Amino acid sequence: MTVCPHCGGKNLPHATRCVHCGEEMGAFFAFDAQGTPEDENAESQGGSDSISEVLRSLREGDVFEPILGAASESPQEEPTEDESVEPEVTNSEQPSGPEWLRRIRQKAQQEENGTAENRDELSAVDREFNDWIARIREKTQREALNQARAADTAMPADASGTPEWLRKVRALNPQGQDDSTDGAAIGNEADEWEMEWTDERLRALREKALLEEPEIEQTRPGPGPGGEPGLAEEGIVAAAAGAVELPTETRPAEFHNIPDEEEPAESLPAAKALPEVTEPALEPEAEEEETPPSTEPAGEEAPTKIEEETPALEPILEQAGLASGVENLNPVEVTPDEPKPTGDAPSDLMLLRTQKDFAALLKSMIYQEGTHSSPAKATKAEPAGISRFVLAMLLLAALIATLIISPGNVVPSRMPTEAASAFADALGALGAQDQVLLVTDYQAATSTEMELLLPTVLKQLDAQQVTWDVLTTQPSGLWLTEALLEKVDPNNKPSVNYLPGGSFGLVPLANGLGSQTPLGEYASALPQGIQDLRDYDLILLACDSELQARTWMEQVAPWLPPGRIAVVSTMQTAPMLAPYYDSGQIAGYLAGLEDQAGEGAESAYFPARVFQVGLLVLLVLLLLGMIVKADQDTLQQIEKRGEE
Amino acid sequence: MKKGLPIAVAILSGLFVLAGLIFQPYLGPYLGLVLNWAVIVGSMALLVAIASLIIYHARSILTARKGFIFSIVILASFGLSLVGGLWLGVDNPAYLKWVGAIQRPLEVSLLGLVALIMTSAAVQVFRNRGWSPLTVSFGLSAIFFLLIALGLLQTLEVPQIATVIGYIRQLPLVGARGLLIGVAIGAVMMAIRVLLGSERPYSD
Repeated sequence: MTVCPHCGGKNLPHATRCVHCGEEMGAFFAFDAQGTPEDENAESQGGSDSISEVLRSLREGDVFEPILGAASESPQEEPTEDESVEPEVTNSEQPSGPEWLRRIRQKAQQEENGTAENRDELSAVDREFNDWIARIREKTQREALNQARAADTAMPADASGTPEWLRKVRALNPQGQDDSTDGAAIGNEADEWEMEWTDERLRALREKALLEEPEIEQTRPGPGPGGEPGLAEEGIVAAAAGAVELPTETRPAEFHNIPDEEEPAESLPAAKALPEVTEPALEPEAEEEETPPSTEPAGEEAPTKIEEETPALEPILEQAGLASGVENLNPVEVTPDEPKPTGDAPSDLMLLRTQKDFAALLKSMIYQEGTHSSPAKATKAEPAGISRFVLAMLLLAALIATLIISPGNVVPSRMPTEAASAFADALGALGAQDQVLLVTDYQAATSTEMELLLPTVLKQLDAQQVTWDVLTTQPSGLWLTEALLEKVDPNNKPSVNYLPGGSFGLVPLANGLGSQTPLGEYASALPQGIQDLRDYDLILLACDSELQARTWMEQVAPWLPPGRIAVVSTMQTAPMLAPYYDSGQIAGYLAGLEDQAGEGAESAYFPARVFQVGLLVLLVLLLLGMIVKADQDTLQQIEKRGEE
Repeated sequence: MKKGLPIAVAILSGLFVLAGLIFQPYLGPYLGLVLNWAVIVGSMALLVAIASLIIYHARSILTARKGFIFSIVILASFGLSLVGGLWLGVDNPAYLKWVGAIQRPLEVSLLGLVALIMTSAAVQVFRNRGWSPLTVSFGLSAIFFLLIALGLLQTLEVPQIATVIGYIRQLPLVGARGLLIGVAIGAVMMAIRVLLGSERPYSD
């Protein structure tokens, strides 16, 4: 309890005015650790305090005293309206301090001029803001002190090596740790602190506070006698503090991953849960009653000390729920009926932008301390080369083993396909007086497969005494056709003609335009007496590409009677030939090893076993791929269920 | 003028070839002449490509660029083939056999690599694409046609199996026909765009 020095009546420890006589109780802000002005002058001249001392003084509350003292002057010494309107003049009239302080003032002044903000216009807004801040600060200071003292008594010895000052800072603002894992939230909060107050924002803040006022009043007693603002007013202040994201007791507890032993499990939740100031929590302030009344700081020494510690104090003050403009601290209680002008912020106490940045950085570091960040994803080396190598070795081993073990030429007995039967019919319909043109249009890679089919066909033509000529459209077709003809009849090889121009040469060759041109180049590709492709009874096209087959179908077939083209091709081209056969544009076709077996070429070497083993390897690998994928999916589903 | 002249030449050439095919009795000889020009221009382009290839690899050798050993192999092979063809003649059986003895194993090896890559892709298609109607249909069709190509089912000589196999063999016909129809429509559209000048592949 606090005894009024005027009437001797008993008051609450935090009362700033006597409830009996209405006089001010100036001893409220006199703390134990506060020294005399002479001591403070000596401290400010003697050098800067360490961070631990500052934090200790912050916990004990005396760090605010010089700030509060600057603004808690007697009503006679409060700045007048003129002074608040023209702060620059006032600042210029102040006695000059140290050199670094003058530079800071100059820089702050430049920033003010650079932003082109008129202090006069903002003075009214600042006045309202300072009123709010004064009330907020009065409450949050008490709560911070209570929580710090509770944390001191409840916190066990730190085993994780967390510094004592950091634990105390956490104890001052346990709610602030909730956002430690969210860097974006920290950044947003820091941005809000840097946000300038506008009329709209203040109006919205005031409306929000008024909306929350009835709820707070239900839990708190009404205003005390003697014009004391009472706890209801404090509730508004607390609501306003919540609106600006100040840590208040009304905020719900949130999860954080800081070890539990760092949080006073008994004291802090209790402090959060109790909106009213309980008797044990008031003990520190009761002790402060014994200290002599605070005196005003002497001149500029107190602000100088604050300015020296401002960069380090900034995050701490923010954690404690104080705005960065600590210079506006006004411990004089403000009643809602009489807004008290506190004046403009002295320019030498305004934080620079870089200082704010450092403070935000330190604040984020404090938030993230003790939390483990997610490790960087380890990039796995793709073993694609190994898998392909294994596949290749498996395939090669199987094929080599088959080549060694298998008996070799095995011709399976199969039913010939419909297209192969039509091809055989077209070939069998030729007589001795008919002429056939063999066009070779395949590459060396598929020559093995093509040479399995063509010799049988050409031998059959020879057997039927059919005249046949040879034409190639590929430069490599010259020697490929020579190799083919070697297998048919080495002693009686016809000459191989070459048709240049690719698809450009096919059209004149098909419709006889070549013989009409002045050069007559295309006619030379055909034997004597042959004008164009229409003179042949059958064109035997040997091609391994569906693109070449399509070119023949599109450029040549329209100029020929239907059924004049028969195709010998590879197995992979067969599906693209089926539509042309189905529509009657080609007489028939042989496709690959399968149709070669149907033709009954017993004399040709047909490694059927190797072919079958190759297909079996492909089949097994495909099934393995499907099984492995299914297995992976099953494992993933099991892991997901385990995580859920 | 720089852009308009190629467009005009392309449009006039296309229209002339189209008219020559339609009015062949009147424009047939001129159509053959135009196609001859096309063959000559194509051959010249091939010569230019060969010259560019030689210059590129010669620079690689002179500047000792990384992998210039392969440039030496390429230029040596090209020179030997050219000299052999000019000296012995392209009809010489020994020359043709010599070229074939080099080219055939190379191309067959490349085809074998293609088969290996296709096998690897077939194995990894499920891992990369997951289970979808496309991959499942691909897997089932691949398994069916590999089994049919093995020829083991045909040796059973069961009429029902032969009927099923005959039906399955007709399935590629449907797909190939649709593919050819799409290709034809695309070619017609491309021809119209070239004739209208909206598509200029020659300007690349």
